[in-house]
Amino acid sequence: MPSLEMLQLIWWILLGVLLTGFALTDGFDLGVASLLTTLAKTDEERRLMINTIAPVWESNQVWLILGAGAIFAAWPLVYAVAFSTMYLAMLLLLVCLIVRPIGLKFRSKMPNQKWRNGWDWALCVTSIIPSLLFGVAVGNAILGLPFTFDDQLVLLTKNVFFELLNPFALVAGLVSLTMLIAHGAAYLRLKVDHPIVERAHGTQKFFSFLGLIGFVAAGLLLNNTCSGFTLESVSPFQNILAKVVGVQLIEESAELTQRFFNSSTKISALVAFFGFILSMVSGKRKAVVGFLGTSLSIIGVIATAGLAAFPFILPSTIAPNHSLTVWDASSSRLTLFIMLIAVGFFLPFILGYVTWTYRVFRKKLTLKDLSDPQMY
Amino acid sequence: MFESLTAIQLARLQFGITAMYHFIFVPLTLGLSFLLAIMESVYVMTRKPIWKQMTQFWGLLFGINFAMGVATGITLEFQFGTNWAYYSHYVGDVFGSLLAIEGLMAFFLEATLIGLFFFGWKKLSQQAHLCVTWGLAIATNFSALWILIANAWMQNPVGTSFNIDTLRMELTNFYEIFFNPVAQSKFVHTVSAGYVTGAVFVMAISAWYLLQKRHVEFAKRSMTVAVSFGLASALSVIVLGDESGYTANQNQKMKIAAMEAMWNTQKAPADLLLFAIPNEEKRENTLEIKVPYLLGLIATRSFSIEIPGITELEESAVLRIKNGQKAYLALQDLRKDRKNSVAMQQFNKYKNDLGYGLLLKKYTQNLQHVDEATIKKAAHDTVPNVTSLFVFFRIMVLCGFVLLAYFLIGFWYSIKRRFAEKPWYLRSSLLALPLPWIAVMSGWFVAEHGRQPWAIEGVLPTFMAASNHDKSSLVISFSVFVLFYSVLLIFDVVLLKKYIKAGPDIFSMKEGA
Repeated sequence: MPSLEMLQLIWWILLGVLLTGFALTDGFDLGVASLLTTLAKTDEERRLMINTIAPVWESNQVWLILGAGAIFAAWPLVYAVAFSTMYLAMLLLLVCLIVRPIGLKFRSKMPNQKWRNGWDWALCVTSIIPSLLFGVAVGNAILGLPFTFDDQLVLLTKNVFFELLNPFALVAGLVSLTMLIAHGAAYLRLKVDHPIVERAHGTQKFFSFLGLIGFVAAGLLLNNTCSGFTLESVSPFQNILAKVVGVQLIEESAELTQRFFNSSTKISALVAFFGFILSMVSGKRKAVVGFLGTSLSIIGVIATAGLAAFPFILPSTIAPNHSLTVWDASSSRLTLFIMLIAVGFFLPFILGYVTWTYRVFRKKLTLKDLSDPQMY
Repeated sequence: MFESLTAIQLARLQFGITAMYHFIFVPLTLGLSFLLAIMESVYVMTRKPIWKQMTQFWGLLFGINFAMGVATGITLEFQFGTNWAYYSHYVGDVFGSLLAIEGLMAFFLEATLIGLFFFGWKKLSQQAHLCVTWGLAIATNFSALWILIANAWMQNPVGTSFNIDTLRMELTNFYEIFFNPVAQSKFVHTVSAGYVTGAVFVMAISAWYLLQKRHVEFAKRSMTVAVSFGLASALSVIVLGDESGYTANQNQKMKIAAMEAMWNTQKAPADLLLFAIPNEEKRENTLEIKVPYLLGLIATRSFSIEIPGITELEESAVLRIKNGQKAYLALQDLRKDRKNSVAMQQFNKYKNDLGYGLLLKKYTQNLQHVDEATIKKAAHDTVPNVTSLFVFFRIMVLCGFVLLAYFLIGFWYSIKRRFAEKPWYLRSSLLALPLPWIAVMSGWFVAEHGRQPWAIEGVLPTFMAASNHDKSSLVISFSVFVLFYSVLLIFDVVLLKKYIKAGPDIFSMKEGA
C-alpha cells in the first residue's frame, strides 16, 4: 500500500481531475442552457439547443455527484466544513441542480408556449447561478472560511452568504461563468448544423475574452489585497488541531509570493491564457479548435486555483491552525487506498463508455431531427 | 409553526421528508427498468412491433420518473454536508466511500445508459439497444446495492474502529462491510419491493385502459408481463423481509422489541402480536390479539432462544452507558497525552461502548461527574417510539400480503387469459396502486425511526450528528424544500396524467419509425 502522504497527494490530484471532468462536460450543459433564451430566437431553435445536450446531460451531471462523493469519501472534513459554512449558497445551488434536470426533461413535453417559455427561463437562470456559484465557492476556498473546531472536532461555524460575495470571489465567479458560457457556445458549434452556430461563434469569442480579463483581474486582486496562509508545522497522526499555520498578506511574504507564482502555477496559468486566446481566435470553420480552446481554459483555471492554494484545501480565517490541508483533512490510509483501486478499475471503464456514447451521438443535429418523438 | 421543534428535530424532519420524497421515485425506477428490459427482449426475439411500442411507452413514463429520482437524490447527498457536519466527519471515512463507489460503479453507468436508451433507438442496432436497456436495469440495481450497503452499515456498523487522533470511525475491513448480513437481506428486500411497485404501476394503468376498452392488446400484454414479475417479486419481498427481521434481531434487539411492542422479556418462544394498542407510559398493551410462539420462531428460528423485552434492554443500556463514560474519559486523557498507557488500556477495554457514553452529552458536557438519574435518562433515550413502529410495521406487512393475494389472483387470470372479462379485478388494480408506496414508506419509517436514538447504531447518537446551525437556517431550507417539492410533484403528476391519457399510440408501430 502506498504511504499516506502519497495517497493524499493522489487524491488531491484526483479531486482536481473529477472537478475538471465535471467542468468540461456538465460545463457545456450549463453553458448551452445559460444561452437558451438569448441565442435562440424561436421554439425550434431552443429545442435544437436543448437536444444537443439531451442524450448526455444525465451522464455529465454524475461528474458533479461523483466529485461531491469523492470529497465526502476522501476529504470528509472538507465536505462538512464547505457545505455547512456555505449553507445558503449550497441550498441555492441545490435548487438549481434540481430544477435543471426536471426542466430539460419536462420542457418539451407540453406544447403550451407559456409552459415552455417558463421552463426556458428557469433553465437559463438555474444554469447561470451554479456557474457563478462554483467560482465564488472556489474563490472563498482560496481565501478561507470562518470556521473552527472544539476539542472533540465538532465544527463551529456561522453560515455565511453575503460574506461570500467579496471582490476576489465575485471575480472568480465571473471567470467560471464566462468560461462555461464560452464552452457551451463552443459545444453548440460542434453539434448543430444550423445558422445558430454563427451567433454561437461570436458569443464564444466574447465570453472567452471576458474570461481572460477576469482571470488576470483575479490574479492581481489576490496578489495585492488578500492574505495567504503558510503551513509552519504539519499535524502528527492527522490530528488536525495540532498544527501551526501563519497568515500574511501575499505581497509582503516572499515565501507566499513564491508559492502563489511558483513554476507549476505559472504553467497552469499559461495553459489557461493559451486556452482563452485559442478560443478567441478560432476561425468560423474551426469549431474543434474553439472547443479545444475553451477546454484548455477550463483545465488551466481549475489547476491554477488548486495549485495556488496547495497544500491548503480550506483555510480557516478565524482559527488558521484549524485549516484543512492535504496532509490532515483526508480519510484514513486504507480508505484512500481502497477507493484508489476502485477508481483505477472503474474510471477507465467510465471513460470508455462515455466516449462510446459521444461517438453514437456524433452526428450534427438539424431541425429535421426534431420530429422524432423521443426528442425533447 | 416551527416553535415547538428544535434545530435537530428540523434537520431530522428535513432528511426524513426529502428521503421519503426521493423514495417515491426510486422503487418505480427499480421495477420499471427490469420490466422494460423484459419487454424489449420479447421485441427483439419476436420482432412484433407492439413490444417495441410497449417498451417505448413505459420507457417514457420511466424517464419522467427517473429525472425526478435523480434530481431529488442530490438533495440527500448534499444534506450530509450541510445539515449533518459531525456525521460527515465522524463516519465519512466509511460512509462517504460507499457513496463514492456507488457513483463510480453504478450511477455513472446508469446515467449514461439512460441517454442511450431514449436517444439510441435509431442509432443503435436492436441487439445493442437491448444491451443498453439490460445494462440500465442492472446498473440501477447496483446503485441500490451500494446505497443499501451504506444504510446497512448505519444499522450494523461492522468493519470499522475508532481512531483516537482523528476522532472518527475508520475503515478496518472492507470485506465485512460489503458482506454485512444486514446489507444482503436489506438489498433483496428493498429492490424486490421496487419490482412490486413497478409491476403494480403497469398493472393499474393497463387495467385502466382495459376498463375503457382502449389499447386492449397493449394493455393485456403489459399486464401479463407485470403480473408474473410482480408475483415473483412479492414472494421475494416477504421471504427477505423475514430474513431482515432475523438479521435485525442479531444486532438491533431494541428495534425488534419496539416493533413488536414487547415491553418485557417473554418465555421462549415469544408470541406474535397481530393487533394491540400499546401504552408507552404504563409499558403495557391493551386489546392484544396474538399468535402463540410465532415471533420467537421468526426472529430466532428456534424454540428456546429468548427475545429480550424493552425494559430489560433499557436496563442493560445502563451498564453500557457507564462503560462508555469510562471510554470517553480515557479518550480525553489520551488527547492530552498520547502515551498515557493506563488511559490507553482503559480506552481499549471500553471503546465498544463509547457511543453509549456519548448519549450522556445530551444532558451534560462534563462526563466526569454524572449522577445515576442522568444515566437513567440516557438509558431511557435508547427506547424508540413504540406505538408508531408497532403500527407502521403492521401496515407494511398487511400491504405486502394484500399485494401477494392480488398478484396470485391476477396470475390465475393471466394463465386463463381472462383479464379483460374481470372488471372487478381491473377496478381493484386501480385501488392497489397506492399500496406499494404505502408499504415502502412504512418500511423505511420502521427501519430508520426504529434505529433512534442512533444515527449509527451504538456508535453515534443522532443529536450529535447534526451541524451546529441556528434554527433559522433550518427553517429556511425546510420551507424551501417543502414548497419547491410540492410544486415539482404537481408538475410530475400533470405530465404523467397527460401521457397516460394520450396512451401508447404516440409511438408509431411502423418499423423504423
